[in-house]
This record gives sequence, structure tokens and C-alpha cells, in this order.
Amino acid sequence: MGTSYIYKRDASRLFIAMRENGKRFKIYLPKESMPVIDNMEQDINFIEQSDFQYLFEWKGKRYNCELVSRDQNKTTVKVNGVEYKFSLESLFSYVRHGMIDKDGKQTDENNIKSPMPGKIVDIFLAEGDLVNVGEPILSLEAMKMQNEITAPCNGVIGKIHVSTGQSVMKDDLLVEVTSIDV
Amino acid sequence: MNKNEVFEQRKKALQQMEANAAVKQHLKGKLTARERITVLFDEGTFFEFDAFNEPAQSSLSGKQSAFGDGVVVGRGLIQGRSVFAYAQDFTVLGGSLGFTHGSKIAKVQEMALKLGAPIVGLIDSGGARIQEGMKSLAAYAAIFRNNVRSSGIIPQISIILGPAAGGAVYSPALTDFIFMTNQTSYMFVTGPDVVKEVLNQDIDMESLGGANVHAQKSGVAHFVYDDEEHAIMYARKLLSYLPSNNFEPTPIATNIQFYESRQEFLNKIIPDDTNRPYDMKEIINILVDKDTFFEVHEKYAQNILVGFARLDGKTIGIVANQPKVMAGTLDINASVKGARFVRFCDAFNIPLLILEDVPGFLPGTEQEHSGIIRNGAKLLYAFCEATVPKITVILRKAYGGAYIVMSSKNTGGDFNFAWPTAEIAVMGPAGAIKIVNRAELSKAENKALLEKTLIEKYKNDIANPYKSEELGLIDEVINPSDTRKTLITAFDILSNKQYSKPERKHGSIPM
Amino acid sequence: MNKRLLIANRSEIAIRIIRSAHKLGLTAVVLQSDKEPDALYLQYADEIIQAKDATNDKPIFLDAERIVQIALDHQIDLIHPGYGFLSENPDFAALCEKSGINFVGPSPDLIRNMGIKTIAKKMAIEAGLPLVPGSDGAVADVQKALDSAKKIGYPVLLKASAGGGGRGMRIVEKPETMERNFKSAFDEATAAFGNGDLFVEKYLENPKHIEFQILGDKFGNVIQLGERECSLQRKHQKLLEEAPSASISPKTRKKMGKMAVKFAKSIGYFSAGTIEYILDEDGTFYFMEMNTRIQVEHPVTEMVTGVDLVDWQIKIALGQKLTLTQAKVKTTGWAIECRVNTEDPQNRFSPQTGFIEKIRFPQNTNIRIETGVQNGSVVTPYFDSMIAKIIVQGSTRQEAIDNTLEALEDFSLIGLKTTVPFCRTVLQDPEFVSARYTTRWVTQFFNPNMLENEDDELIGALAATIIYAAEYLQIASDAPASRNESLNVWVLNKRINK
Repeated sequence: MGTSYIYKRDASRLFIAMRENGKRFKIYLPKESMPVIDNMEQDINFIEQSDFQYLFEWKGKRYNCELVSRDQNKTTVKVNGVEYKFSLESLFSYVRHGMIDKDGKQTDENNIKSPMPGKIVDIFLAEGDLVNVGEPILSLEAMKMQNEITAPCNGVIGKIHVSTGQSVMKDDLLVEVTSIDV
Repeated sequence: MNKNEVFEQRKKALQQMEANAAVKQHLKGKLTARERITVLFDEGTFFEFDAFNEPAQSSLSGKQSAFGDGVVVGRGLIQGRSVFAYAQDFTVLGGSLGFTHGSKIAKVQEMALKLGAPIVGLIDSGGARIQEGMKSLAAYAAIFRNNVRSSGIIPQISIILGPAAGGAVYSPALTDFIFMTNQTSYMFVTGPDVVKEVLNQDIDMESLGGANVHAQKSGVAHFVYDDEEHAIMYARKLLSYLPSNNFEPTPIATNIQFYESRQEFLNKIIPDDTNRPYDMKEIINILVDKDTFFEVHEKYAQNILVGFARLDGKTIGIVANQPKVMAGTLDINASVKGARFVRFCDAFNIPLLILEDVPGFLPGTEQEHSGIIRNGAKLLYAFCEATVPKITVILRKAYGGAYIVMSSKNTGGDFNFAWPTAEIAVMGPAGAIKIVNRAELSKAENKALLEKTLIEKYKNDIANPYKSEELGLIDEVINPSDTRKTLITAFDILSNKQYSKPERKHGSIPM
Repeated sequence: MNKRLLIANRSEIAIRIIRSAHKLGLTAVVLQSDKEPDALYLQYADEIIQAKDATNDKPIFLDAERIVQIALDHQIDLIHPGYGFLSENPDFAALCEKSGINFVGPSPDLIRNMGIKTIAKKMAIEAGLPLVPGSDGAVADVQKALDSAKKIGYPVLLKASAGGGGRGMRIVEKPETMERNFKSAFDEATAAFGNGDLFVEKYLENPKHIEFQILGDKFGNVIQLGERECSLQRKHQKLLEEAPSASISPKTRKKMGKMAVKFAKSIGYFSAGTIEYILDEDGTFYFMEMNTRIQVEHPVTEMVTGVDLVDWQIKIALGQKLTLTQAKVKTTGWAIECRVNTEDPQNRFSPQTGFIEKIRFPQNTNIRIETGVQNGSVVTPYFDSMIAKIIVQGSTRQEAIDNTLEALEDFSLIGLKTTVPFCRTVLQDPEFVSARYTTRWVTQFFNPNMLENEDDELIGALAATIIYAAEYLQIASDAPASRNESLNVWVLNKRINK
């Protein structure tokens, strides 16, 4: 046994909240600091929570939120008296949804080429893995330095053209990534 | 090749298979069998066996691409509790069920039964492997038999994550709960092609046997989610309510919260006008521990609500009439839905809470001709048969036969409470006075006025809950805002309830 | 002994009247409807009389005979009807008079005459008030209609004399379309009311609603307390009012006020009353009708004049002389009233019923709150959806707008949706800020998307995510969230031996 698989249950605290009109928010909820919304840390203070409401403070103003209804991952909240409906997903389920959508915007091929001549030291991911933007895919040793090659976008790892120990030239194709727009 | 090399080679082959599967499945918006397993179980707890079994069909044997014969089986932990699982792999021979494939499932089923642990099937299969002929049918039969043998002993859950066609639908159908996903899962006995051929009817997979069809119309699916991840995650949640087997006590939550300030609302929640609807779910959410009501069959027969919840941390099953839908009347679908849930709870020693507001059975030829008698009897049978603690709270209407059915005192209800707003009688006031006061009414000059006063009188003198309390049919009329407190005490009193049944093989429920 | 005042009303206006009653040393008695036995106003009263509602559609507050009987049984001296319900029912006022109970309001005849539009209009003409130009009664045929329209000037409105609810009503822009419209309006009116009589009236494209508050005593003294603008309406329901109006020149204001007083004097009016005008874009105004009750929006006038209208209403009913002279009435600053209705502005203002789980009002010296509800109150379908009013003052109009917006930010209600976000949207709308808004603002300019706000949306997304994540992460977590208790031996034995 002892076979380990790369895919993990997604408990990454990164979520996508999408409104009916298609407007999206990428929300990261770190355990002990301010939420990061669309890659920007926001100075939003969670003041209190009672049975009925959530009270936030942001930019010197108070925001009264109330949970109106929940149906699985569809949540309607009322902020300052106005309702907003969101459907929520973890990043990975969102990514997969994008793939079900036939006319999604995911078909961009992103080919990662070697930025310099060197040797592949390690490959962290396997074909078919889901990656987040900036996540390291493989490690390339060049000029006595190990460089991590990272994902240029959120997506799925396609074909991996190299293997560990292989030497590569500049602009050699390393990995194909199918991007999914988040 | 030395033995170490074989080991290495196999490991590599498995990794290659997984990588191939990942590309195929991810681009369809699906997970691979092993990824589904990873989502289901606590991290690193899955123990796989029979990974290198070979297909029974000789032409396929030796092919490394078919290792495991298209199904992953093993055991893992879900929030620390042992659970068995099998996951069909659509990327290996279309997930088709060959003899080896079937035997692996049967083996894991038998282990689960032997060890008293729940079993979860992650289903994504093209059906029987035609090349293997009758062998594959025999394998199916063994699975079905195991499903039935395990029924009522260990919880069995099926998660449909792809097609399930033909005989393959019957294994899920025999299990306790079926999860489906929107747009990626289908269940039907005969597919669109056959329907076209035999009936010359054009229908696509989604409208023939998609998740929504089974959630709303057929009642086959108990839970429907948008994607695989949620479906599998919520199966984890469902298991958190259930005991591992019919001997084990139900798990008790450690963190207990409830809507304290909302208890007062219960005093005002029933509308003055007895014909006005209200949402029973609101009442349930106030009564039970905060956010613990987990509804089963949410979209099917919505005139009755069933689901699990926690009360003071302990799992209970709730059966409630929903006045918001069809005034909460009982019809065929509602009776069957309720009966099935009651029997599941009874089998696994989950106490039952019945919240009653039922004006009666749904009248009409459509219902009568479809067998409301036979089907209504199922709910009655289930309640009479259940030996778990049963507590009924009558919130408003409780009339006639429907009153009896909903776990009335003399069908074996352990505690029957009523709110002061309860109306308990042989029939509703409007109908009753027309029979009782027929003579008076026929002579009356102002019929409408007389009817109104008679209805008032009937409600006050006959249908009130204090009359039933005097007769001992109601144990106590309780203040709505004290309901939660009363229920906790009552369930605590009943927690050691044991009730011997006469010896028999099994009853003969009117199917 | 103190005089006893029965309030034949509920909610915020009942509380408002109780306040005046106490100031004047009267005993305040209220009626308790079985539709809302725990209502807030009951807590303020000196005495509560339980009164069973006749039917769901006829609560006690509409039951004239029962109220008068109750009043007689409980030695009531005065009845204040508030607004709505029986406040403009001449038979009720007459019944009070006949039973020797002092009705806080004008005489039954005055109520009756002002309630019948044709009579009220006739009396207005006699007093020299301008009316919207129109044909003198019904027009017999298309030609007569054309003649009449030519005299009035296009566009004109064809209206069914028996009409109501927009049926048999047509706007005619030019003579060429008269025939077609006349026919269809005629057919529609005939079908709807069995009477195809049509009359022609000037059509005002962008009308404003301006009303003047007056007070008169039983000795013929009448004064006016300035105007209110109530152009912000939806289906003739006012949603936000201000005093004074930024839409009229001082000259027009003077003229309108004078005419209001003249009219009230000419009909011998006493008590509080309101004269409603319709104002055209070009500044011309026409008399519409007179209301013979205290209005919902009376607080804006009170705020800018400092006069307590309800006090005076009661004092006048008690036969006191109006010692307040016109010269002493001064208006300062600006006041805005936002009505808090439990209606959903995102969904065609559909009424909301249910629990008010938590309500919080803004507090400040320039804010006045009139509310009929508190935490835990129930909003039933049996009564009006207005649960409260927020009235805010400023020294100028802009300041009043800013202060109101600030006040609304501090308002919150958990449980139901209200018109407060709508008021917020109005107060930020350029049409309103520039005082160009008309009674057609809601149909012309309002769309529910205007209620949304980017900051609110982002906070909403965050809240939704937090709520979702709480459950999701708990399920995803590997840590056991429960424990198993060992089975009692009694239970275990039975299970094994069965």
C-alpha cells in the first residue's frame, strides 16, 4: 500500500462567491488575520455575531449583515437592508465547474517553457493535478541555483514533457497547463 | 524480474493509471475514483486492498492499465470513525462491472457487515461488462444480496457520480441513502435509446434520469448537490449523525448551541387564522441545536418534512407536516417518504420527534385510485412498528385518521404533547358541524351565521387540546416556548427505552 | 377628574397621541385588538380595553358602533381617531356627536363634504381656488372631447367619470389620436363600470404633490403652518416627505398658503387639516383635495415650526381658542421623514410579514423616531405595513439630506425587509437632491439595482463566505466533532437477546 495521492480534500480556506449576475469575489479567510478579497487584504473587522446577524466594521462604517436563507451552497445575505444572493464554492469545485461549462473560458493553453538551460531536480505535481496560480510545479537547477517554476494561472496540469534528472535547454517545453479563469 | 522490481513496477503502473485518469476525468469536471476517496476520508487514512486484482476476462489479464478491474476498495476514517468504501473508476473499462470488480465490491461489503461499519459506494459505471457475460450478472446478484443482508445493520450510502443504468441502479436502490450530482449523474433502468426504440419517445439523459428528476419526481435520490465535492462532503456530514451499526449508540456532538432568544417566538408563530400556512422548518430550526437540521428528501413530497437533527447534542429523527405545502395533508408520496424514514430511524435506534399539523389525507380519485389506502398504511405501519422513543408534539391540526397515523398515543407514542393552539378531533370543524348539526342547519334562517357560531363552539368545546389531555391522549399541554426544554427532558427519560416485540421472522408491511 | 381620551387607533400614531394626552393631563385609553395582543402602544396607555375584532377584515378599529359603545361603557370624553381607519368616516364622527362624545376632528358635515370629491371641488371653486382645467362634466362625443381639449391644451387625459384604478383612462397627446383613444376608453369604461361617460382633463406630465397644513378653531380662527412636499410616491402611497418644499418660490408659497387659509375659513373648518395641491412644472398649482385628519407626515411640519399639531388638535376639540397666530408661525431649517414600511423594495414592494427579531433606531438630537414596534414584535398581514417613521432635521435642505443619510446608516432591522434602503437610494438620487423629482419618480427612475452598493456587496460576499465556510470547514475537518457514549447494560442486553 502506502500509495499517496497528490489530490487533497480542499480545506484551503479559499472560496469563490459568485452573484447571479456573474460578479465574482475570490475570498481567502486566513485563520488569524484579515480576509483577503480579490487578492487584496481588507481591513474588515468582525465586530460581533449573534443568532441573527453579523456586524462588520470597514472603512469606519458599520455593516449589518443578516443570513436570509441557505440552500446548500447558495446563500442569501442582507446587508444594510438589501439582499444579495451568492453561490459559494471552494476553489477546486469552482475550477471543475468551469470545466463542465462547455463554453467556459478555460481553453487557454499555457505552455511553460524553460527560462534558462539547466537540470530538472524535482517535479512536485502530476499530470491532471489542479494548481493554483503561483504554486510551484517543478524545480530547475541552473547556475548552481534551484529555481522553482510556478503555475502561471489556475488550472489543470496537462502533459509533463520532462522527467527528474533530465537536462533542458532554454525554451524547451516543460509542462502544459490548461488555465481556468477564476 | 526480482520481487522488488515487480513491486516498483506495479507502483509505477498505478501512478500512471492515476495520471491518465486525472486528465480524462478533470476535463469532464469529475474527480478520479481515488480522488473521490481522498475527499471522502480523513487525510491519509485510506487503506486500499485488492488494488492489483486482474480482470476475469483473459484477453484483459496482464494488462497493467486494468489493474484493480475498475474499482477501488478499502477502508478509511471519517472524523475518526471507521467506514468502508468502494469507488468505481470510469476510466478503466468504463467502470463496467466484471466478475473481479463485483467480487471486490462484495468483499468490502462483507467486511463492512462483519465489522459493523458503514459502507459508502461511489458509483460511476457503464453497467455490466458484456464481454464477461453471465459472470458479471452473477457478481451483481452477490452485491444486491449483500445490500439486503446489511440493511438495518450498517448504514449504506450510495453516491452516484456518473451513469448508473440497468441492473446497476438496484444496488443504490437497496441502500439507505442516495446522493446525486447535478448534470453529471444519471440513473435509469432503461436508457434513452431503448425508450426511443420501444416507445418512440425522444428524451435526453437528464430529463429521463437526472438528479433533479430523482430528487423531485421519483424520490429515488435523497440528496442532490451541484458538484461531486459537495455530494461527497455532505455524505461525511450525514454519517456524523448516524451510529456505525444497529448496536452502537448514536454519536453525541460536543459543541451545543441553540437559538435561545428565538424560543419566545414559538408562542406567536402559529397564525391566528387556522387556515394560514407557516413554515414548519422555521419551528424545527428554533427547537433543535443551531444549524443541525439536515433534511432528507428535501425536494420530494414537500408536504412532509423528514430529516436528522441534534437535540442537546444527540441525534434525533424528525417527521413533521409542512403546512406551507398542500396545507400539510398526507398523500401517497408523503406517506411513503415518511414511512421509509421512520423505519430507518427505528433500525438504527434513532429517537423520533413528530411535529404534527395535519388536516387529513389528501382527498380525490387520483389518490384513491393510486392506492392512498395501501400507501397511507405504510406510514401507520412504520410508526406502530417503531420501538425507538417516539415523541409527538401537536402544534395545530390533528384530525381523524391522519391524527392516528402521526404516532398518536395509542399507536405507541411515548410522549404526546400539544401546544395550546392544537385542534384535536375526529374531523375538522367545518365538516363535523355539517354532520352533527345537520337538522339545526337545515332549518336555520341565517345559515352562514349559525355555521360560524357552531364552528367556534366546536373548536372551543370539542377540538381543544385540554379535552384530549383529560382523556390521557395528550400527556401535557405545553407552552410553545418551553418545547425545547420539555423535549430534552422527555428524550432523556426515554433514553433507555427497550420494548420487546413478539417473535417473528419479520412483519408483512403492506408494500 | 381627568378627562378620558380613547384612541381608536394603533401603532405609532396611538403612541404619538398618548404623548399629547399625557402632556395635556388626559387619561389615555386604548383598544387591544386580538390581532396584536402584545403591541407596543399598549405599554404606553393608562388603560387598555380588550376588544374582539369582528372579523379578520374588520378589526376593532373599523367597527364604529362597537367603539362608541365601548366609549360609553368606559366613560370616555373624547375619541381621537388618528389617521386611516375611521378618521375620515363622517358617520363615525356623527355617532360620537350623537352619543355625547367629543370627536377629535372637524364636524361630520365637514368630513362628509371633503370626502366627496365633486362637492369639495365645488366648494374650492367658490372660494376661488384653481382646479386642474377640464371639461365641465362628461363629454358626449369625440367632437365635444376635441373642443374641450383644444380649450384646455394638449396633452389631455380622458377619464371615466365612474372610474378608478386607471381603467378607462387615456393620455391624448395630439388631436389626431383623440378618436382612437376616445373609443377605446369608452369601451373599457363601459365594460368595467357599465357607464362609458368620459371627461377631459389637463394632463400634467411632471406633477408634484404639495400640501399645506392648517389649524382652525371653533371660533373661526384659521392659520397655516407651511407646506410639505410629498411627491415621492408609489401607487399613491407616500414614501418620503419633506418640509418645506424646494420646488416653490416664496411668492407661490405665500399664494398657496393664503388660499389654503381662505378655503378653510370659507367652509368654517376647525381642527387640523391638510389642503393638497398638485403643482405643474411651470409653477402653476391646482387644488386637489382636503384631508380632515392628522397626516402621517405631520412630524416634518412640527419639526420646522416647533408647533405640536396633535396637542392643538385635542385642545381645539376641547373648545380652546387657537392662541397661536399666523404671525407667530415661523419655519426654520428643513425636515425629512422616511417611512419605514415592511415592504421589499427589491421585489416590487411586496409586503413582508413575520418577526422583527431586532430593531435599532438612530439616535441624535436632530432625529425624531415614531415607532409602533420593538424587538420581538410581529408584523401581521392584518394591518398597514408602516411600522415606524424616521424624521431628521437640518438647517438647510442639503444638511437635512446628509443628516438623514447618516441616520439611516444607523438603522437596522433583523428579520424583515423594509423601505429604508429605498429611502437611502432616493436621498442620493440627483433628481431628488436637485428637487426635480415628481410623483412619477418611482416609475420613471427607480430600478431595484439602484438599491445595491459595491461596499455592501463585498461585505455580503464576505459574510456569505464566512457562513458557508463555517459548515464546510467543519465537515472537511478530520477532527471528531462528536463522541460515542457507552451503551447502558440494560439496553445492550435487550439488543443482544432480541
